[in-house]
Amino acid sequence: MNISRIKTVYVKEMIDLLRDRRTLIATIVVPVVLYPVLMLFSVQAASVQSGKVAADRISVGILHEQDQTTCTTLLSQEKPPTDKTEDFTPLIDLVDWVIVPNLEDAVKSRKVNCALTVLPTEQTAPLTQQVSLRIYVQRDQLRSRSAATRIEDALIGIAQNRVRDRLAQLNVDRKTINPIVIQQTNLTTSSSILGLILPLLLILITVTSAIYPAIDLTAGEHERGTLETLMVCPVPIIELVLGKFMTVVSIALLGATLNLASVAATVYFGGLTDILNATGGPGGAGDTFPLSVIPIILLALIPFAVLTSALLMAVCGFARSFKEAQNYITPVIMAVLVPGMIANMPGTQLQGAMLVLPVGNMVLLLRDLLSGAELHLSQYLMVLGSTCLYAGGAVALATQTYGREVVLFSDTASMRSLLRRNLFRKRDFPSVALASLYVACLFPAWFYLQNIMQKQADGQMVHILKLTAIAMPLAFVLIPGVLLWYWKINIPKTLALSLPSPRYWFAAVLIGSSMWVVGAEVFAFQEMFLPIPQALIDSQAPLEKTLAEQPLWLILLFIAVIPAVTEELLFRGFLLSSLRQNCRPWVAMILVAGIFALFHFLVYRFAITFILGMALVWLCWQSRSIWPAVLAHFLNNALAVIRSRTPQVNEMLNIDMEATHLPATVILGGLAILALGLWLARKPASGAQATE
Amino acid sequence: MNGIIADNLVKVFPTPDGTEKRAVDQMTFHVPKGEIFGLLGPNGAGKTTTLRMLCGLITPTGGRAIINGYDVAQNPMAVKQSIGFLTANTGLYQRLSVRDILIYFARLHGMSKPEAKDRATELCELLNMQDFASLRCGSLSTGQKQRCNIARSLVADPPALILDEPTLGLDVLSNQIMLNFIREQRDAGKTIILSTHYLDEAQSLCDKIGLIHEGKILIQGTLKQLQDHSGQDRLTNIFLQLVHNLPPPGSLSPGSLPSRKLAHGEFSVQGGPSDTAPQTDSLTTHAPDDPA
Repeated sequence: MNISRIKTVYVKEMIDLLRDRRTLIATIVVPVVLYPVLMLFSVQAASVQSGKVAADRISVGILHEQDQTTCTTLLSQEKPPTDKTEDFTPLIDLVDWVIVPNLEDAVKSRKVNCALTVLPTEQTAPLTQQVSLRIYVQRDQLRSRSAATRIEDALIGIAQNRVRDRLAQLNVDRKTINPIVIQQTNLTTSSSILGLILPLLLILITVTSAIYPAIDLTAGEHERGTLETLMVCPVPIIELVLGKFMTVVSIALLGATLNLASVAATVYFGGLTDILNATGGPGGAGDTFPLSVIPIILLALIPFAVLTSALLMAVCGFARSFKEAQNYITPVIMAVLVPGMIANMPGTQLQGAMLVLPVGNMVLLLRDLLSGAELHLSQYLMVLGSTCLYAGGAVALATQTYGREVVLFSDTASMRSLLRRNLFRKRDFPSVALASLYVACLFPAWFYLQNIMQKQADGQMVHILKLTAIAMPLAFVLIPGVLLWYWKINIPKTLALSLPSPRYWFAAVLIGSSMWVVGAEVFAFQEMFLPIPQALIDSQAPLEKTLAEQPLWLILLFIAVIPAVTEELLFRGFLLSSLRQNCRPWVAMILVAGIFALFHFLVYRFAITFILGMALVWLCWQSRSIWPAVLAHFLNNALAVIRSRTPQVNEMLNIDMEATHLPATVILGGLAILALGLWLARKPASGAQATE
Repeated sequence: MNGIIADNLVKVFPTPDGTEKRAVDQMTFHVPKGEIFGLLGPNGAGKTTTLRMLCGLITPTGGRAIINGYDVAQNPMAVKQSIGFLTANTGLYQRLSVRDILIYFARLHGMSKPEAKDRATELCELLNMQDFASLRCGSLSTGQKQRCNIARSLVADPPALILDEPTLGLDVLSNQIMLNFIREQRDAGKTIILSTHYLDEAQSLCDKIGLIHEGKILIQGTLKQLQDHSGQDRLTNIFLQLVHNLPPPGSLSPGSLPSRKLAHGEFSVQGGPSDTAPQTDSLTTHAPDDPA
């Protein structure tokens, strides 16, 4: 990878785009000027409208004059509230009575705003006399709703006055009938109101800012006839794509930043706070836009911008003209909008399935940041981690579609040839795109599947384990296997199924049997700044119980054998072999270990699974075989099961289960065994050099 | 080995109906250094596909292509470094100036910034573009754009030039610029392969000619060799005679040969007046210039 060439492409594309009026309008003018203006305008219009409606005359339907007399008499008793004696207009002065034959029809046909009828009541003594009224209202109509509310409010006021008078006559203290007084303090702030609209707006702006550059840099090159000459340059496609892709991301982020800045400025200087407060309720003192969250929001938007830019570039890469690209983009925008809208529904929380919902999780994260909700590290990690994973898949897809000959030169029929098996060439290893796309799709699917399985199993841990034992081979091995077969990729080579030399078996035994020591110490260290909540520890109780109750062979099968085989085949086989061909060793190893850790869905287990993943990748990388990693993974998990079932093991090693740290002897012994294992695997297997 | 070698090149494309089309079939030729080789044939004959395989833009289904000693499949970057590629409808970045474009492509060819700037200046002088070098390409005339494109293809001073229909649709002046450029480059010792369906142009320009039809080379050699072999004087006639003497390839029958593409005059425009049209029996009623 030549960074300087990527920079050349980037600089050229930035200059080219920024010289274009359309980019400037779409990216700078629209977010800076149009959106705040629209926002102010719509908020003001809404407040003006609701204020106007609240002061307008209302027409009330009534069946006959007798009812009108009753109602007029009643309403004429309205008195100004104690805190608002000036400018008080009694409602009776604003009501136009209309006698109609059918009250319901009159309201429905909007002949009147609402309608009133007096219901028959018993005639009793004045002190217990009751008037019963029915209001006909169409609540989805602003004017009807407002009219009914005004009448209700007036009647409630009158009723309260009557109660007061009657209580005075009876010499009863008002407190007798008001044993509880409730007061409400509204903590709505302008930023929490913004939190309802701004995240979706920001996400839309990021997407819309990316659309034009994404089309211009892909389909645009095609249309202008410059693509062919670019592809003839001695530059690997990946560098061209990265340069262009960085341009699209930059423009998308530029749009989002400018938009956020202008919204912040509108709120901060433009008096939006007052308007929002007027419509949303009284705000607290010092209620201003939380400027400190802006950098965090922008940071959070980076992986999102990467995701959408890559997705747009991948899609536009198929198009040969602007027009065609615009057709392809509509579904992408829908794909972004729908999860965004789902997340934006009131009451949705950033937890459970929402944590990994593409786009939706970002909307919720931004909303919570703006409303000042306390966010946990694991929430950040899941949202940003999953978005990065999806972004990686999309980038891989973009590099695959861009410059492909079927896309470059052929007609629409050629699109199908991308998926036609008889046109595939046999290959030894899968492309990064195939592997990372599958892993990116599997991530949310696996998360949802786990949730579904938990529901299905109704909390029965054994059932969860059984369902997982079926789902894991399917999702981690069978489907990737079918993909490999379909794409005519050498399965034994990709999954590194060849047997290694004995040295690596030994290394695997040593690493697999000592990793738990590292794990325990990492946990102890992590506890200092990321303590595991008690609720989580409690939730593990059923698992512990199941581990203790079920036969050992079954537990070993569920916890050690199946995960070891299936996870190794997916991560150290399928994923690693694709990255191995295209990345530096350390990049590939860190990516595989990181994604492996992310798939465990728990922030507390991230560090330990990452370290275990690194050791396993190292074993697989050096031995060029999956089996030592499978063995080490199996041993690691099996030892955890055995230690939890047989306390004697811990006693033998002098381990106090209540103590934070392991005994020094165990730590030193474990580290020595691990080091020996890593040392044994220090040399790559013969033939490894030749193929790299 | 210098020059351009195509060795049994094959390209198979899928078709919309699910079958396959052999766009290029066992194409073999050799262009020595300092020569112009013309690939001639009607539209859809496989010229562009062949040239794209030579550039490494598309992967051959079979066979090999070697440019300047580098195998296109094995060493695509070295091949791309040693070729200049140009077509008549190559576009330019409208919002960049001529100089910007030259510097950009020079940088993509691995030159440092100062080297790229020097090369751009040099090319602007060579092609007499100083007057409009700092103008954006969107505001240039067709001839100026053509010169800019030529400069772009020469930016890395490649030993081989691959020109796909370099004069297609050009006006007289631009055409002249292009033809002069090709001759000058040949004289400067570059290996050139060009595709065209203007037979006159090929006749005057190429050292060797390969006539291709339906993905196959029918015959190749110098003009003289082609004339001697066929007994015909004009390239048009040589081509038509060869096509007709072939056993009918696919569904093509001799009577249907002057198909829409041929009858629309690709050969006739540059191929001379109709009275020189082939006089063979099978063609008299379907002469290329016959409006029917």
